[in-house]
Amino acid sequence: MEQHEAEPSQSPSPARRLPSDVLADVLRHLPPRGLAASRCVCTDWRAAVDDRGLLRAAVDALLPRSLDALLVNYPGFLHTEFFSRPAAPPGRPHISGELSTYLPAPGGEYRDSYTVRDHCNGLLLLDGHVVVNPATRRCAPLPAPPPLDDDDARRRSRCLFHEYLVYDPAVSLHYEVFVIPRISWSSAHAPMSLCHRPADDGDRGFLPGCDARIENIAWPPSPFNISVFSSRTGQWERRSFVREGPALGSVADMLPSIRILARDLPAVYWRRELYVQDQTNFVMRITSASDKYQMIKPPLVTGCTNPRLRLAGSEKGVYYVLHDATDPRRLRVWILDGSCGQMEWVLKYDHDLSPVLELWNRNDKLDGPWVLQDINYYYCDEEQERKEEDMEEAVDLKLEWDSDNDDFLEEGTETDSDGSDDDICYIGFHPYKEVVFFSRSMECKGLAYHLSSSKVQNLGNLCPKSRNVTCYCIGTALCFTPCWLEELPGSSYSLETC
Amino acid sequence: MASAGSGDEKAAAAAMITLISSDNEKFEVTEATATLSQTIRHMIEDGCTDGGVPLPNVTSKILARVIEYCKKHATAAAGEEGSSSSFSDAAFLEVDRAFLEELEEFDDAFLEVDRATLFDLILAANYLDIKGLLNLTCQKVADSVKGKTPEQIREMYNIVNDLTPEEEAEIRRETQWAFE
Repeated sequence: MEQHEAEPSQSPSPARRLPSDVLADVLRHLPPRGLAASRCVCTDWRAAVDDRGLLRAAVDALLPRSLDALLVNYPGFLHTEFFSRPAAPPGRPHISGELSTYLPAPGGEYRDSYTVRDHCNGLLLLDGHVVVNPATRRCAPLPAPPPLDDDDARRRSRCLFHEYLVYDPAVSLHYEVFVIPRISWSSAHAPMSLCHRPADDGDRGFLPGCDARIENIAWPPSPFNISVFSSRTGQWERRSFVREGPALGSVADMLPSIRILARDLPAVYWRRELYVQDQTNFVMRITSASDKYQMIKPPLVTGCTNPRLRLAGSEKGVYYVLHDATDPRRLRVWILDGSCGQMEWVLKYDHDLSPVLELWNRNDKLDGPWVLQDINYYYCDEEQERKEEDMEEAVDLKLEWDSDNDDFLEEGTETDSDGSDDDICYIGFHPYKEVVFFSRSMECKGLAYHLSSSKVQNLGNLCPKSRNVTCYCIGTALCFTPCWLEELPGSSYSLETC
Repeated sequence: MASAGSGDEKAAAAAMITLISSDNEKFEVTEATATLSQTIRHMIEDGCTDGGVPLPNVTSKILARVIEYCKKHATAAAGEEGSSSSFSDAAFLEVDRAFLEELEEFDDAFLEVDRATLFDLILAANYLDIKGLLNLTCQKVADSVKGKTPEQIREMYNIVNDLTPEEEAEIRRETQWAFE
């Protein structure tokens, strides 16, 4: 083909020659970061992005706001289990709960066990201080947290510390890890080094009734010294948070009402603030930006001295759920309301679960659209070959669960329930919808309960293959919502997503 | 003079279309090549291609490049149809893969043009409604923008910043994460 002489088409700004819809076609190919920068180029570019909602669409593609899995820690298991749809949503690679293939381990080998401690917007915090994004298969090992001032005292006292991940990719690509100290009742020690107090010598151990100096400390202290890791600096920092409002009382006052902790208490990250449930059901609201915190009183629960409340984050903000084994037919849900200047719990749902339990009892279908990945069974034991065959079968189930969709348990006519099967446990709260997850302790089935409609859906079998467990042991599952952002600050290596 | 794609495609020899550039250059192409453009396809369907298709928005220089792209990709499309109708033999798959690689190389080389030409190609692909070409050229421009700061983008494309400092501060505040 013959080439022709180039015409002088060197206009001062070739980009300006593109009509708005064609410019939008160009910018559509950019990831969120590129779109955000493009909005800042000139008014035409900003309009090309904004008029078509390109940035919102790009962010939604990376943060689909979908619940992809419940992460369950079974006692005695080496790995946290993923309870999820067997097939990935259309156009998405499947997210595997098998993390150890890309986790670094001391000595260069892969880690043979891990527990997911916390989840925030697609990132997982594992024990041993590793942050992982299972969607992009990236992981960032954190340095070990700094020792406390009086490391000896800590070792002896076995103070409790719970670690929480804070990550909001819509605000920043960087994440933080907060180490929140708890009053340790059983070991009878207060995390002394965290309180500001005059330097003293001698034994820093604390026994209730034996050490007036500690018992009289206001709890929580102000300033409250908390170790925080920031991926921005790549370091741990001891930060001082100043309390707004009064303390709850002295440490001694706290001791009778604190709960002995078998596992971590939940925390919620909502609108740039971290809400952490306290052992006394108070909620500590930490504002990282201003180094302040505030204690929020728990809802008043009549007829219950130490109610088993669980903090949760969902559609409208921060929730408290009360579902107690002593009264398993009743479910109460409060929502935190800060609209009147003060933080108050407003009772939003007070449900009698009897109809649900009856439906549940009649429904003997064990399998549902969600399956347990059974990582502990498939990857950790012998007889690998046979299991791989099993696994292929399991993955063949092309079922999907959508919290808006079918598979509601129907109200039947037969009533063969003997009413004794009240053994259901709360295991989680849908992060974007007012849907509560339960499990039945004996059969270990998962169930989704829609608060607004009182409809119930069978999720599937929560019972791991390798062992019979009861769901009383599960505790609260973490709700995993994927994040497809490739960047993970501090990640040293990654594998191709399959 | 351009008499594109007339010799080797015997089956389509009868169906030739004449495209006329803005500077009155005539290009003869097969229907298979021309119909990669949805705009021309519709004109053919409406039977209004006799006496040539005038393309007043496309210069001969750009039209020649566009036809070069369409010829290559029309052959690719024909090849794909051919292989999918036959049994899927390993040899066929091998040929397919080699062909796709070749096509990719062609695309890469095709995009080695100056910025002004690239934007002309985008405009032509948009006007002629050639999805593949539009996608390819838009991606190329997007790649040049990716990872750049607003200042670098402006400099690269000679764009005058007409945002007020307040507007710019507002944008940066809204998407703080993108400017870290």
